[in-house]
Amino acid sequence: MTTKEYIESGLLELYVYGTLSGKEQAQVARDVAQDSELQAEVKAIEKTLLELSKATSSGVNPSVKKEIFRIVTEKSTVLKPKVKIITSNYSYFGWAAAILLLGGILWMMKLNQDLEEQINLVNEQLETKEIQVANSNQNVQKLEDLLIQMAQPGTRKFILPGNELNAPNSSVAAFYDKDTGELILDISRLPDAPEGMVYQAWSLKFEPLTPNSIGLLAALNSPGNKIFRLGDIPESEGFGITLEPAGGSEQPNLNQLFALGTVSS
Amino acid sequence: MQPDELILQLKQKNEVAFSQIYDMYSENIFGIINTIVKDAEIAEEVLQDVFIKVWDKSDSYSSEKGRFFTWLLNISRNAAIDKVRSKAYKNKRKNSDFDDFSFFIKDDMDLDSISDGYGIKKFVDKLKPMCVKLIDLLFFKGYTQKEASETLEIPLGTVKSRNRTCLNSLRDTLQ
Repeated sequence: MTTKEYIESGLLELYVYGTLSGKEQAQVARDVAQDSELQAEVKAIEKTLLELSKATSSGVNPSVKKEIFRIVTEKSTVLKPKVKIITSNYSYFGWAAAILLLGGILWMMKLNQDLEEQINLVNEQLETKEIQVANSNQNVQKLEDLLIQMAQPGTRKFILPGNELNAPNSSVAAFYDKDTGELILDISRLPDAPEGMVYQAWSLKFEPLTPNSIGLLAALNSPGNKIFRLGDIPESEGFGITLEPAGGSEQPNLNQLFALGTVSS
Repeated sequence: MQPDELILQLKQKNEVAFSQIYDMYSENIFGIINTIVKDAEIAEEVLQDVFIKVWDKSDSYSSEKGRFFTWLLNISRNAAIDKVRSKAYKNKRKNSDFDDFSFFIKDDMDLDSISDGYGIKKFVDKLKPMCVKLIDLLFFKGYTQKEASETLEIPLGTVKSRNRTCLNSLRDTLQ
């Protein structure tokens, strides 16, 4: 079949009408695609049909198009859910807020740790202070005991003057109760005993001079404690204090006599 | 003539392309639907359905199978025929004397007409009644050759060529 015969057959009109069977329709489509003359004829037929069909229209109401596009736009928005990656400023604010929050939490954790350390330190200091307070209380108690002792009716106070050679311008205060045999010595005005040496107190009897050791003024030593309480003192006529090697001596070294006094009657 | 680029964009769901395609074909499609449903209001409903379908099913059109206009025609005639068969249509439809497309073509004297078809009526009126019937059944109503030959009681083998002759006489006067 020549192109002219093909055109004259009237097949192309039915092809444009779309009333051929599916198989015929596909065959004509292939034939037309290969022949520009057939293509031109198809276009001419279509042009006539467009004019003819348009002439039958009484004019479409513009509201129809509006409605169609309303529906289509609605479908489009449903079809394309907005899954866009959010790159708006809001997301940056979000990240910034998250980082600030994280930073804030870390900072507060650090702060908390520091505070705990401070609390521990303060607790340690408090313990130390409590020990100090306990010690002070003990000292106060001792001093109170001393004061009570000193205030006893039988207690007599007297001064052991400092030795001219070893301890000029110094003296030792003594409180002695003959009846109970208690003696309190305040050596705060004597110079500190040098390293390896210790003050030793002696009970004295005169004629003949008989010294008896009544105690080392270091055995009970604690820093700053210059007041010593000695018990079981034999009846004495005087007291002396010498500087002796650590551990004390059996007999007083009179070259190292620091204070000496008699019990005033 | 065939807006291939627009059709491509339509397949990509481009609403601007769709709008242009609507403007190009809506009057033709409306006319064809109206010759079948014979009621402008119902025809508008069908037209709306057709273009929604065009939007949804644009992927199914392939230039290898035929013309885009042909694809539109088939969707439109099927939609219109479905409508005519529906219960709602049968209840609403008033009797009409309008049997074929020629009744829908506006008169030359119709000054309201802004259609390109203005002036076409006198040519259609010159067509032989058999030509009007043939074009009406085959083009507007989508009858097969066999259905047309049976309806018009003409030999099946002559349907194609007679249709061509009829359409050609119109085509010559239009050009």
